[in-house]
Amino acid sequence: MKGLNPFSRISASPTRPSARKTTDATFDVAALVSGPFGAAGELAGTPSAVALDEKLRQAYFWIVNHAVISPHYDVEYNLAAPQPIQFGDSQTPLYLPTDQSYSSFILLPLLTFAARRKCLFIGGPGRGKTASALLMGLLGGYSPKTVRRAMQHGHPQMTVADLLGNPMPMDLMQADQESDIRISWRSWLDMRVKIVDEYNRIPTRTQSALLTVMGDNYAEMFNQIHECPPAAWYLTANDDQGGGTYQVIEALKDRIDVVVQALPFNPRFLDELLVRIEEGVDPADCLPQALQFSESEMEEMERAIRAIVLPPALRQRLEFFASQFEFSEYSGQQFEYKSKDTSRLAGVPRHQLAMMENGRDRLADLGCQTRNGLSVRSLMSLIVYAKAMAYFRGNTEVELNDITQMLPFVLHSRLFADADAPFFQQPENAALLSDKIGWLRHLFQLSCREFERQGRHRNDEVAALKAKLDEGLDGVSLRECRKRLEQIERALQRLATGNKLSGVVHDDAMTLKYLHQRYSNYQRWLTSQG
Amino acid sequence: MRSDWFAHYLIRQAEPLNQAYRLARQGDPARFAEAFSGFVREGLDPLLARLDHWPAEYKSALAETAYHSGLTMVRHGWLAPEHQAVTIHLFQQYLPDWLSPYPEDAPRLLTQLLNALSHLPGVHPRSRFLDIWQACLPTPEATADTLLLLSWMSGLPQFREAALAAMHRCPDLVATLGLGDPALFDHPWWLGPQRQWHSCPVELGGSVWLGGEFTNRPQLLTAAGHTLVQAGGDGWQLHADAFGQLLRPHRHDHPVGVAVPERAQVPARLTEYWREFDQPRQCLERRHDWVVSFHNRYAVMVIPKVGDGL
Repeated sequence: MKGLNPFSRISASPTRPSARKTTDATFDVAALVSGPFGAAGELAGTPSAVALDEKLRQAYFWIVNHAVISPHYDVEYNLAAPQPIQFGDSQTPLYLPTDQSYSSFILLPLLTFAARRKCLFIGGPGRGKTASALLMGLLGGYSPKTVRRAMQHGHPQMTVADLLGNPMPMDLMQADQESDIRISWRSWLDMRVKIVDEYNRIPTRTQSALLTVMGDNYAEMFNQIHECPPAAWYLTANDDQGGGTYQVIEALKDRIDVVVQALPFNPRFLDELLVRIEEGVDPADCLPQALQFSESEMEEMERAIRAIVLPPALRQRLEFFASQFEFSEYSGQQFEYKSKDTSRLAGVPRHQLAMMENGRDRLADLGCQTRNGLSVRSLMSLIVYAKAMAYFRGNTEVELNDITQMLPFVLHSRLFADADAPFFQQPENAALLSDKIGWLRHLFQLSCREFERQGRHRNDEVAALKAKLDEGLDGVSLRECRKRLEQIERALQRLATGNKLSGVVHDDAMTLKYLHQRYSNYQRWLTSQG
Repeated sequence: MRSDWFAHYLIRQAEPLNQAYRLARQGDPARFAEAFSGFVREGLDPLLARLDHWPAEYKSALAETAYHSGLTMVRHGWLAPEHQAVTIHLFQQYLPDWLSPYPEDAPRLLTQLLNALSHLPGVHPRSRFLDIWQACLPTPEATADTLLLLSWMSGLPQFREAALAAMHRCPDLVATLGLGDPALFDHPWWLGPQRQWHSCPVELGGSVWLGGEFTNRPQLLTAAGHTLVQAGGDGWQLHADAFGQLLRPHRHDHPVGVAVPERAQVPARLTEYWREFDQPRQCLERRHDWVVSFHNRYAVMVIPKVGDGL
């Protein structure tokens, strides 16, 4: 009875009509034989192949329309400024987006699937975390049974052998050396979509084995190596604050690219649950075959995402944002060691350092809002997800809003708020301590505002000097080299005299020092050549 | 049941069919059940009884598509009292006659026809369409062109250009329908050799509170050879000919239109078409008609250049 189940229907109309399309306003005659009765062959010239980004959007809309009841559109896009509608005594604004907007709970896992990264679902029990992960497995072309069986369920007695596989018992008895012991590797290791349910209930030792598979894509037992294919990873946890049976090791946490929070169920949609109960239907069993992605399609999609352009103007904003957080003036004596990581490693309490601060405005300085800085991995994840978002929206370039929308989910478990910071003492900001997504989005917007206030989008001297060096030193004369060294020294002087020492100034100064070193080494070499 | 095969089919496929039914159900369950069971009894069963000579696989394919279509028809009101007769007649009479020679293509043809019918404005155009359809019963190859031509003639002026091209491609169809010389249809107000010219002015729009489309007084614009109508923040493209008139919402990325000048001299002979106190605002002269907007009306008028003095 193919095609008879309404759950199996996919919209024939484009999911995002303006995506990568020209503004051709001519009438489409094929519309006559399209309608509520479904697709019926095509008139001549009607395209039949679906582009992968369109297929991805179709998958998104199938999931939100049929599979996961998530009427939350928290990833907002706007063509024109949306009109806020104020609610309650707190005057909380509700915005009606003016462009296609999305539910993060479905969108982020889907982008993870497309870019083959790692996603963590968090939220209370029964909110659809495992169901969403299961759907991603189905998109990867596996049957519901296969995905369910391959799902790893974390529990306190889970051993490395449970996770990775078992040595052959006979080999254990007869082997002369470790390499003779054959391992029966668990089949989930070879899947393109890997799901680990309740990963914070896995014992620490087993977590380390999981870390190797997640981080380096191979499994090791008895000196035997099993290479795993590139995969999209989905992990679930009821709690991200260490409320599981075991504390999750930091390195494992850092391997996770995005964290998605399951939002509460809206009881207005109880009727949809009722239909499922009455009809005994599980939407996961009804995913249309047309929405499944083959291995080659997944590879092609990942390549296409990597090829999306991140314009230099946006990269500069990202650099500016990332510069704010690691700097800590009194953590180190030497310029290079003035970082939060230095004091963290030394075990110096934050409030002790805060008491020493007397120059900068701790309310305005974004760096004061966080306990830590950004890791390289988190910046890479952010770029990948911003590109994936642009791809999903049918664009060839990343837009500022792609970064604004992806940033909170990427940094959710990586950038931690300092509850003692003056910013959070303001009554209007108190709620941002518990609303991490809102806080991170606000943080990026504040950073962009400061970026524009400083006029960096118009004139960025350090970037210009770095770009000159990036052109290469071949053919740069001694005279030119001296001239550039002078420029760098002048820029450093200006930086030192005109600004308080902040994260951005610190990073600019370090960059200039780096440039100075490169040019002075080159100058020495030129001089030695006579 | 008239068709034993269909009775067995329903029993064999009871589970998925019932599931599809329950998932498609909406509104009052009793009414939905009544309408749909009426369709199965009066529409689907006679259709499959007439096609009993087909191999079982083709009957299954058609039954599946028709069953699904039936659910859609109930949802879209095609089995409500005023529409039911036409829908049932379609399944009892037109479809068996048409589909009988083409078992392999039947599901696709059925869906194409139903989709085309779904675009028609109301039951009367649908009924007229099917009456003409009965006269031509096209082959699978000619179905797309026939659908285009009949849809246009049944009140979908947006298909006019494609339908004219289809007329030139299908001289046999033109002859069957007695449409005469296709070249005459280049004039948008020509109805064919029997009914000749459409000469009466037509009005489109009306204010929102009177059930019309405009939230404001409409203004005429032209863009790339098209006539656009703007009212408030909304815009439409005007399609008007002898077979139908339509304001089709135009896309935001449509080229920006140029407003037709106001207070232009309106030809004296046109004034007889509106009331004395009506104040024309814009008068756009096109090759085959005039389009007029008013200062005091929420409608636009199209006056064909047909007849004496025009």
